[in-house]
Amino acid sequence: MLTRRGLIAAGATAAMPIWTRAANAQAYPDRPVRLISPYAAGGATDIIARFVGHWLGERLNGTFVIENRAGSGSNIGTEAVLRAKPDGYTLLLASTANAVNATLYPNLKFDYLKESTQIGMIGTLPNVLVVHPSLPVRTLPEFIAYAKANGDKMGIGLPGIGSPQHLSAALFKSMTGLDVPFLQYKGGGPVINDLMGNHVQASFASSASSAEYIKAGSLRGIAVTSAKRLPLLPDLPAIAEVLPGYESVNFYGLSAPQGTPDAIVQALSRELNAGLGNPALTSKLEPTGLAPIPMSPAEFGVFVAAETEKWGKVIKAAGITME
Amino acid sequence: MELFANLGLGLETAFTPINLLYALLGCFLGTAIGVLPGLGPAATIAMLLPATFVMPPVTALIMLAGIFYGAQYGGSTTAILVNLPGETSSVVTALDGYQMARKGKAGRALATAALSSFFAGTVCTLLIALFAPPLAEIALKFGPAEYFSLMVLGLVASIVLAHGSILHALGMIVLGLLLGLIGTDINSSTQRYTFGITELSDGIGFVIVAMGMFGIGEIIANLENEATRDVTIKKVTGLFPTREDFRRMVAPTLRGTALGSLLGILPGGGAALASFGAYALEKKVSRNRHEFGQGAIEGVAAPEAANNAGAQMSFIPMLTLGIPSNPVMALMIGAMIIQGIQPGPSVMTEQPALFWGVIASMWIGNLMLLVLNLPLIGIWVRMITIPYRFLYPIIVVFCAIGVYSLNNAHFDVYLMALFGLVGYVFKKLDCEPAPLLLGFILGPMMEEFLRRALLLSKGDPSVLLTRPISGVMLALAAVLLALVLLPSFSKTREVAFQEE
Repeated sequence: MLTRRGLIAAGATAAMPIWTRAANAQAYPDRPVRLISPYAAGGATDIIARFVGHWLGERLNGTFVIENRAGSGSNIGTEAVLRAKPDGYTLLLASTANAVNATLYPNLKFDYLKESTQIGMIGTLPNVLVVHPSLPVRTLPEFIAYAKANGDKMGIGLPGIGSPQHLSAALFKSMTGLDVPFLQYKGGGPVINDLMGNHVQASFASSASSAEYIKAGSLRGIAVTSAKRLPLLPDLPAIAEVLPGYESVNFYGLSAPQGTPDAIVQALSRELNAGLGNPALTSKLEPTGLAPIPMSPAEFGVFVAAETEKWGKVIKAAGITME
Repeated sequence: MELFANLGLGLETAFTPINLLYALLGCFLGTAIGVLPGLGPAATIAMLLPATFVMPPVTALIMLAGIFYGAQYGGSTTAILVNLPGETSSVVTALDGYQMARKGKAGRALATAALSSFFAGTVCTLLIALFAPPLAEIALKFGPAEYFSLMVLGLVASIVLAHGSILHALGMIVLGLLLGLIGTDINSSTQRYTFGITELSDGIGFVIVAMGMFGIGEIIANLENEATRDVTIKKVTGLFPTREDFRRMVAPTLRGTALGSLLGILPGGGAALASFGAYALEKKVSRNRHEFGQGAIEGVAAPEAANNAGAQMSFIPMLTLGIPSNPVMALMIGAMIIQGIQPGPSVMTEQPALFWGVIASMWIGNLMLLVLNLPLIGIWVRMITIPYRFLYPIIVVFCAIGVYSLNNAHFDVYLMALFGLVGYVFKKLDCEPAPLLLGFILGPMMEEFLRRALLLSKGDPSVLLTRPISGVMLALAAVLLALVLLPSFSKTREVAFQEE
């Protein structure tokens, strides 16, 4: 404990001007850290935030309090973090939404890329293309052929405009030229309900929950949206095997307001990445379907910027917008 | 028989000391937060999620379930005592329950609510144990067209909710529909009536409107009139229902349970209709319909039974299919994932102890709540004898805390204050808030389902009539509407409506 705190302080001292040394001599954190999850409690983001927060709290000998600030597709929580004092005591559970919303919402009051400092990636969560079992298709080429011929007889259910599942579907649509109507729902639960009832015929759903329905035979899995196959569903091909270059995953990571002391960012990054290699944390994250991917703050920054650019193009091409 | 083996396994699981203890803890916490206006089960469960990390999965779910139905019991208490419905379901209970309280019958109203809830809870536990999987299958048959028609039927039926001018009721429903439109349209993502305010982009929360219009509005009106506000203190007659009360509550409880169980299995918002529907039904069939709105015991028994039945049945889609039908069920699913259990159709077969343990604990929980609540009635009733100058600031503070806890946003508290003023103005104008709240809840759902049905049918509205379940419900709605509106062509409209 002493040594770790000592190391952080030493690292800080080397990089900081003299007048901040006094402040950093005290170990971080000396009071509770707010980790803001910009979604409602109980969802995947919330669960990931809780486990990661718990882990960081244990490792840094502090308390990480998860605060759910839901609303406006994560914008309310994100803005709250970006406007907070950059002292390391307010952090954001960042996700694909942050990369997507930069383009999706033309009237945002903040610029996530410019106003945040990246700490690191937590992992990615792919989606699965699932269909109702009565649909006469088993493979991805069969699905594409069927949807081309019967586009007017089917619907793809999705959990809301701008959701990662919607983007997976939009990218799929643009790469295949399909013309199947998208039906938006308020969240993933109702989509699964209507898909199981055959009111809609297909959906892109998060991998962890889909795996259960596929296993039980209530839904049929066709392909996964990650670049490679998933250990969870080894029989399902990646969409990229048929449509080279296709990749659409939800990512989760940690961000802080721009200007957060580098020593704190480094400390958080080190402990986060230690956790992503430690079964004590990864086994807990597993049921959410998350595949842990440790990254340095700089790597995550590059990744977030690339995702923002990629989804910006898809969103503009598909004409999706939130006025 | 397999059922007995399963129930045996469930009881065995639920009756371990630790599970009993946590069921009691959950029920107690649930009652406490239910009684505190504004603090809902969703916020409480969200706060307690980290505590479940260290519990075994069954124990965690049993405790969270206890909070959920404990809050259903507790929520009726504030609705009856101080006219503060913290949940969709207790809006209707407030109508006659609060009037009973004002007439000194608070104890009898509270006991009625607890007893009818317990009865409904017992019936539903049995129904879930016997028929959960087939019921979930039936619910899947309900597509967008069916849900839309169900909502239409509910809305039409609700016109009978009002006990004043039918024009006022219609006006309030339409205003509720308009308020429900605030937010982002899910199909086009167009912002409606948000005026660039980010906090409005997901719409206004039900609790905010309900607390403002009922609770705060009532407080303002009470403060204005010193004579009426202390009326409850003077004459508290009997804490327990009389034999006559029991006779009057039996049939409404049975009907409410039946309706609540039917609607409760529909994850797409059926439960929201349960208590409204049960009240409307009683008002049509009851021999004492002239008392409705002035403190009819039927008006407490039926919606309370329906509401608890609906709440209980909403476990079916969650337990059998992993589909959440309300925010609390979504949190329960989150709790399962935290425990490393992926919710879905296989929970029943792969985690039988969990599945049956939770079901068995439902009945135990309901029993605990009855035992917990009946003795508390005396204390609650004494609570309203607290001088109003002390009581109302307490209520306002708890309302503010509760509303803030929903989203950790100040904006919501200001909004509640605004709705308090609106509620006061409407009270002055003799406009009832209940139809407004119904329009507010059903409006957005109706729109969502109608547009989805039309998107799926490529714009052909005939699906609403050609799909059998949907067609029947629309026909029923038409008949009901005719019954309500026909006398309005004659000059006796007002009188006829009063008698409806």
